Amino acid sequence: MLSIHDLKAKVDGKNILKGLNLEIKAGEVHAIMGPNGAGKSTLSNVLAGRDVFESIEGKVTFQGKNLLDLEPEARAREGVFLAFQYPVEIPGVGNLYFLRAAVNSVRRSRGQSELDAMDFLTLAKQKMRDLQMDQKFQERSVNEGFSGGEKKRNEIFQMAMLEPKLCVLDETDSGLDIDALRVVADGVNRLRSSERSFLLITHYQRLLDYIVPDYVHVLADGKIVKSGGKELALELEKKGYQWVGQKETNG
Amino acid sequence: MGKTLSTPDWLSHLRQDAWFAFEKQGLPTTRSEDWKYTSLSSLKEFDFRATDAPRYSWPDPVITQVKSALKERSMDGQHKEIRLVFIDGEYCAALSDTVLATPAQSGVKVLSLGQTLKDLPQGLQKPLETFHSQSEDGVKFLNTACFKDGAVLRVSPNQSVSSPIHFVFVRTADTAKSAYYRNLISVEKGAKAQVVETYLGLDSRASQQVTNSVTQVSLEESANLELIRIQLEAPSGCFLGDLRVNQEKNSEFTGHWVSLGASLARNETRVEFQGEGSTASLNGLYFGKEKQHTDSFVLIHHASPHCNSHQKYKGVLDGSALGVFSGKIEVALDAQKSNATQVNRNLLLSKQAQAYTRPQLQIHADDVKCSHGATVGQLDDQALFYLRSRGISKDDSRRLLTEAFAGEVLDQLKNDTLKAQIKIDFAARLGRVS
Repeated sequence: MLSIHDLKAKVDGKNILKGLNLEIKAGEVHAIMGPNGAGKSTLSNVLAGRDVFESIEGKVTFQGKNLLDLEPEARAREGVFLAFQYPVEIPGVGNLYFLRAAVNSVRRSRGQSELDAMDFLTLAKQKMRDLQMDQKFQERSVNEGFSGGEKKRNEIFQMAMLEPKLCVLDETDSGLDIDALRVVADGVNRLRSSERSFLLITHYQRLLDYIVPDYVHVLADGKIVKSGGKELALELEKKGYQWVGQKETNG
Repeated sequence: MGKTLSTPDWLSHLRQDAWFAFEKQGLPTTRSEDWKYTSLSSLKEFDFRATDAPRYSWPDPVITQVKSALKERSMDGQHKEIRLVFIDGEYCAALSDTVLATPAQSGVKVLSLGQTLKDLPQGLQKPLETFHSQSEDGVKFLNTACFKDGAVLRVSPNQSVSSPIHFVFVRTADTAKSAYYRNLISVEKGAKAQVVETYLGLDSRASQQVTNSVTQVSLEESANLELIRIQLEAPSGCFLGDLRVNQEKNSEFTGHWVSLGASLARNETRVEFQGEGSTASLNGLYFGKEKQHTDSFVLIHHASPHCNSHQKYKGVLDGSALGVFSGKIEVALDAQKSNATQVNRNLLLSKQAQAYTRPQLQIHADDVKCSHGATVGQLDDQALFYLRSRGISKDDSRRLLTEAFAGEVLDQLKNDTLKAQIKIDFAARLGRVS
């Protein structure tokens, strides 16, 4: 589904990604862990198409298409979804109004009919209940005045509505208490299917107790330095990132 | 010069006086501080006296055209609201509805100025002379010398009018180049009303036209008026508007100014607090694209203590449009406990668009609260990326964010029908955002 080959990205004269390789097949859940500054958020921004990079080299293929050639909206329509680490507040743009525009834009591009206001609202209410989101989210502006946890829930809500093929979750666990984490994780797990893949980007192992990955990768200094099964996360938790770095230099 | 109205002597003298003053001073130039960023030099060759003789009747196609424009804006009488319609400077009785005899509106007297001058001109002398004596420049002199018609509204004491009263000023492709209006609104003690002025240009190919409109508002003690003014002149039009509000004690004025049309639009708003405990809230939205020039000038005079004024103006500028905002707050020596706020925010949608923002505070009292803030900026990159990352196209995302920016001002409108209409107007004028 997603194939990243020798990806390099430069911001403000600094090389952040230095030749990253990753292969994700349909239905797989991959976790990328790593210390601060390793390039985790840069990777998610490159995948979503944020235009802040001095240069991007390498190849990213998503379902046979060169992802790097596509505008952010085209990537979303192809089925890439990024749950932001820090979702922005957009005063004046209604949360559901915006989401309906997004859903219908994606549906149009897939040759599906647009959802009318009633159908959309019925669907939205169902998904909001699943995520235990207050009905007040309907009337409010996008993320405006939402707490950290509410913002993260809103990301998962959008993800559930847009039904993407590849979900990239950037530090979705940060700022969540344990109850909110459980709700968010349940929301993600409900979306797991043999057609849909996940890339979980996280600093802590905690999230992976609730969303169990098939593969765990360690990102350090712009590269994947170690890959393994879910047990790798536990090992990292015990020994710290230092351990991987050491191994890398020694070996 | 309006000779054809049945003209009392005092008015003939007033008009003559005003015309002489105009001939002597001419139009204001950019050398004048208050007109620093707005030049009227494009009107140098304009013949301001060229108004047609009044006829008060129009050919059928014109009536049909105006009718359908009114219908489009739900002002075709379906809502049972009082409505005065003016076409190219003159009152059109055929399209107006001045008597809607529901009990709630029994205390409302609304007439055209032409009719008022004929029937009971006495009450007009004072406000018209006062305006002339306070006129600052040639634009106002011209209005006094040349006004032909307008709306006169009086709301009797303690009357509360729930539905809005509409004054609609339509420009057609008529040959009359100038349309001069004078509107007089008085809300008497404890009364409450809502008035909507709509300036509508119907012919986008029309040659240069000037609309010069003055509205004088007088609010007695504890009176309350919400006045919404929407400027949708044709792209070739020039709009020169002037609003003066006198507030006696404990009165409340809410003004909304929405400027979307005309190649050159200038609107002046002056509020005078003549009694304690009054409040004036002014909201403004001005938009320009291509080479439009829009200028909003505000002067709030805190002449009495314990008054509140709030200004919130936002500008959206695209193409090579230019937007000017000047907001003056004057607090007199004995106007203690005055509270004045002013916010002006401008959104530039293109590299060529420009905004000038000029807050001016003159505070002579020492126990006052005054704040002001001005910004000129662009769409937020992060918000734009967020929307696009959800599949919304770049154009649509820019449009959504721009409408949200403008919406913050428009959402101050309490009348939902009107709010929805203005949002449609704004979206239509905004067009494609790239």
